[in-house]
Amino acid sequence: MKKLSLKQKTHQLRRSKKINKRKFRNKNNKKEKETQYLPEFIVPQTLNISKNNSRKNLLRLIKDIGEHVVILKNDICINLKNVEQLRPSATLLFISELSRLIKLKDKKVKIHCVLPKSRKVKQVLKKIGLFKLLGEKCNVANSLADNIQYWQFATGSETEGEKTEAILGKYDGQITEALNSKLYVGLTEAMLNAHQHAYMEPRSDNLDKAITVKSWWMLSQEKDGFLYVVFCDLGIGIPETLPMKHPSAWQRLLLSLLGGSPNDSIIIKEATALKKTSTNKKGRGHGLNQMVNSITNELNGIIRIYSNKGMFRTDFNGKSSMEDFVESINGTLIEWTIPITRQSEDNYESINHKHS
Amino acid sequence: MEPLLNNQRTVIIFDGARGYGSSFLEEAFGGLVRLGFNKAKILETFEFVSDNDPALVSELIDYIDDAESEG
Repeated sequence: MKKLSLKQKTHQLRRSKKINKRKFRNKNNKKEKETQYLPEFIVPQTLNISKNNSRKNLLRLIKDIGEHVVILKNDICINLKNVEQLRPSATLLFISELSRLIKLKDKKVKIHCVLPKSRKVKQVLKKIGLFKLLGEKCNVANSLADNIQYWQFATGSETEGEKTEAILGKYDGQITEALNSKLYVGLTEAMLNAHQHAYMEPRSDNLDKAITVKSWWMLSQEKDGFLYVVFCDLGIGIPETLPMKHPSAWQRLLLSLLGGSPNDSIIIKEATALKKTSTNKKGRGHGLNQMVNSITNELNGIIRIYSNKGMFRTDFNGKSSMEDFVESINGTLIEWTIPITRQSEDNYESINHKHS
Repeated sequence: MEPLLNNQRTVIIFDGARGYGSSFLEEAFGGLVRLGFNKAKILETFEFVSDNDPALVSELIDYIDDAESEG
């Protein structure tokens, strides 16, 4: 075989580059053609449910996607190009809703996706399994950066304590046993609540026809010395379950409002105060009460409970606040914010002693 | 429940697990009262060991007491 001259080599290199470029362009064009005429849903730049505007945008997007995919049975395209900021609660809600819609939709209905421009967002969404859920390939490399690698995700449908390992296992030996234990208890209580109460009736969006998706989802993120742990169910919400499960507490609440109708946030607050036992001793309550007390009081944390239109927040100083939004999330989100300090083995024991 | 039915002294060791939700403890031990076993019988049958969290034992005894008072 004849050896190529320098001129010939250069020509071959340029030619193969052109061929590769054309292949890549054709591949993208093919994808663009596939999605060109599909209904496109543009995901907002910031996923956030704590402000009315961004909450409204996200919830309406989810509602529209649900209508197209489940009722109209249309293939769609979810455009994540503009997404830049992911708040843990809103991110979990988004992935939970998509997960539910994928279970409810007809198998022939396809959900396509335009990947985010932001590399970090791509890495986080890949880490928490969104692209896998959508069946979308994302070739971005995994990252060991702190703001990426500490996103964790898990989902289930029963009280599966072992699934907390996805989140808590990562922190074994790095946070105090007391914190680890309290989080475990909080998360398993949340799973139990979801399993026993959340799905007592079909969800108000009327998408549950043949089946009801009775799942829970959870996510954690660590950032700037704080651990955020979020738990979500897409049930009927605390404002609907309280009157059914605790009629006497409901009556007391109605009487205290002198005939007025309580906002969702007030109902959530009432639910956190419920203790099944008559002892009235500190930390002896069940479910929501235990979640609030053990995490906030004992671990200097903050808890936010979003359910339907309401939000109730309380912190370790006993300060609480409530807010009601225009749009309902049609479910319940519990977000714990806990200060953590990663410890070396040397001072792990002393911190353990401090927190227990 | 089997140890109660068979009058078999049994030690329950709580150490080694990540934690126990109040709902679980109440159902497990308050539930025994609801099944017809009284506190004396339960405490006679079971020895509870929780070195990592001693408060857990008093908590579950409270659930037994509460279940008895509700019954």
